[in-house]
Amino acid sequence: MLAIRAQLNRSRNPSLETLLEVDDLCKYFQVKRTLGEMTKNAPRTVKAVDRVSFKVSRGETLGIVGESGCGKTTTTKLILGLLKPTSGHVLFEGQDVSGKLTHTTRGNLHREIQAVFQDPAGSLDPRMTVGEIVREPMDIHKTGDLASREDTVRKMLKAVGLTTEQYNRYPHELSGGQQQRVAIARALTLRPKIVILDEPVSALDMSIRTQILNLLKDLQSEFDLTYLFVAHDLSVVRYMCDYVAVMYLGQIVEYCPTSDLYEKPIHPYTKALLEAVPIPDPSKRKTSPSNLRGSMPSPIDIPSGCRFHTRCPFTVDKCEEVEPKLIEIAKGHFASCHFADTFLSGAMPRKLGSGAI
Amino acid sequence: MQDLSVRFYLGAGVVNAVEHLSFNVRRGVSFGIVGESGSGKTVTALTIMGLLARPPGRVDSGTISYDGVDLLKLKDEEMRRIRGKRIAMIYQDPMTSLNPVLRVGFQIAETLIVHEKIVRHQAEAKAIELMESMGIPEAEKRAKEYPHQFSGGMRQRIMIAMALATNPDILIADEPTTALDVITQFHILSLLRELERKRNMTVILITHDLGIVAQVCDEALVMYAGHGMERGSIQDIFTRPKHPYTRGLLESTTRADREVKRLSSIPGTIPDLINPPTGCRFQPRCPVALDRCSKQEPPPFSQDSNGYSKCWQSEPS
Repeated sequence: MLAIRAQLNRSRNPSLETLLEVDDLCKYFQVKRTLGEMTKNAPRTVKAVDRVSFKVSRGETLGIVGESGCGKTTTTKLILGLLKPTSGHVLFEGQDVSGKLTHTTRGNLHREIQAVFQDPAGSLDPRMTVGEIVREPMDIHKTGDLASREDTVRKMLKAVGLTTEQYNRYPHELSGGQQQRVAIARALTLRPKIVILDEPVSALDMSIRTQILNLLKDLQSEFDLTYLFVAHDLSVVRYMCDYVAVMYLGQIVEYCPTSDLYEKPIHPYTKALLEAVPIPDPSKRKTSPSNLRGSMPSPIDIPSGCRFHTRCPFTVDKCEEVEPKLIEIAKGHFASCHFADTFLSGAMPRKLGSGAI
Repeated sequence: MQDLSVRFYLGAGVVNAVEHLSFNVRRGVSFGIVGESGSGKTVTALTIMGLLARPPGRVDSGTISYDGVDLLKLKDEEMRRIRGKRIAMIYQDPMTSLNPVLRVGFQIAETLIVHEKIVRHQAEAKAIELMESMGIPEAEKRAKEYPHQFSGGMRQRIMIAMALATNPDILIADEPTTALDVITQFHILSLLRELERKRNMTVILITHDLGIVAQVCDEALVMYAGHGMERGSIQDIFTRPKHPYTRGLLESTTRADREVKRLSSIPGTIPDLINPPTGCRFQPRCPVALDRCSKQEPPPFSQDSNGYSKCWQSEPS
């Protein structure tokens, strides 16, 4: 019921307020070179995140999807302040939070932005009980007295579907799904405005996965949360997100409402990803192998022009020379491809196609 | 395979990893074993390969007949002649399965030297051919490289080349694409399908991903807590699932091809195999469980020549 009501409210309110904004964010890592590479003057920076911009509106879920090494996790670390950006800004409620912050501002920020990570066992302290783990954020931020904290812990454990009997258990006594529930409860105790979910269900078993996804949906409407949902599984992203950003080699290549992405994908990379997802339906078997060439290039040695041109089946000379910009092709639908208009109209660029393979 | 039971005898108790499992796989089909962690799918594969760690593992009952021979009764050296030559296996993580200090060409050739008794330079030439047929570009040059110089997808291709060097009858692939990205996964699965067709080979594909089973396999076995819950053709399992567990899994699976507002989920957690639930293993989480289910374990009720469903609801009336 709650979920339905929240959805109605959302559709009634088209101009949603921006909660989190990422503006032209870059993170370059320096890598060590061998002597041989130095003499050849080989490149030495990994452009993990390269000029990424997006907005997340209050109450919405933005999905970031891409293959390993595309920069999705680095983006979340930059937002959480775990990494310093090389350039660009992270704006939370209009305030720049990417630079140097005072201890108090950083502390306040941590109350508003919380995270849940992929590996629940690795993100819980094995020597603390479930109750202590969930209470710890409140202890650090000194919210209320001990009695009120204990009260919140019990409420949170109940909200995530754990029993009070599990309060005194240690993480290793719980199953993977229960551990992830503890991590979610801990993220919510400070009543954050936004929760960053970095692959929250990929380590879980199939029958547990949907339980956790449904729980996250319920908590979103109950606590009025905004999610940034990072995942590689396109089926999970479709179920959870309102908007999706597809990343490739540190950049967003397509960004649009979820239904547009799955029904009318524009970018050839998005199309290839969608084509490769196994569908649990034997009548939808894909017989023609994906026409994508090669594998992902190294982020140290990023291709010129369009970064996808080395693998794209429609590459022409222009793609090698000129880098396409992420522009709005249709209402709310952004893509970075020179032939986005052609792809949008549904026409296969015949001239391009013939020269491609 | 008939009535296979494998138990692990640990300090904490006896783990019933696989219990009374029976199924058969015909030549030239792609057979999927699908299940969650702890369902016994990998233990089943390792038992077929004769690679079960003993102790603590022990095969308490059953037979695995392959070509008229019971693999469980073979002596170690007899099994060694079958393993890798006629039944080959590839694993989830291609990095840890390859030797990091040997060139990949030699690692593939080694299988041929051991099983086919051919000399090294002939074996290495054959290794390059195999790498080419797996779709590895510049095979001759790359055969001289080491595993760390390959991407995950290419490493898995090398594992497959190694497994197929001796033309096995059966290839067991244990979660072969779990460590790979979705596009690479697609290429590896297409390769496996092509090989199965071209070489008339039997592929036993072990996975937790229903999507992969639907895309690749002809027949499948759904396992849960060490039991084979349902076996049938791919069409039957996905369009007419008989067992409540199979139905629950299908209903709770997220899909990229359709928009769903709310999926139903299977309540509860995966059972503890040291103290498994009485009767049917799925009964505590089953939405249609009866009194009888917690008291009496259902036998596999056969559906047609090859299919069965281990559920009292499937009992012919």
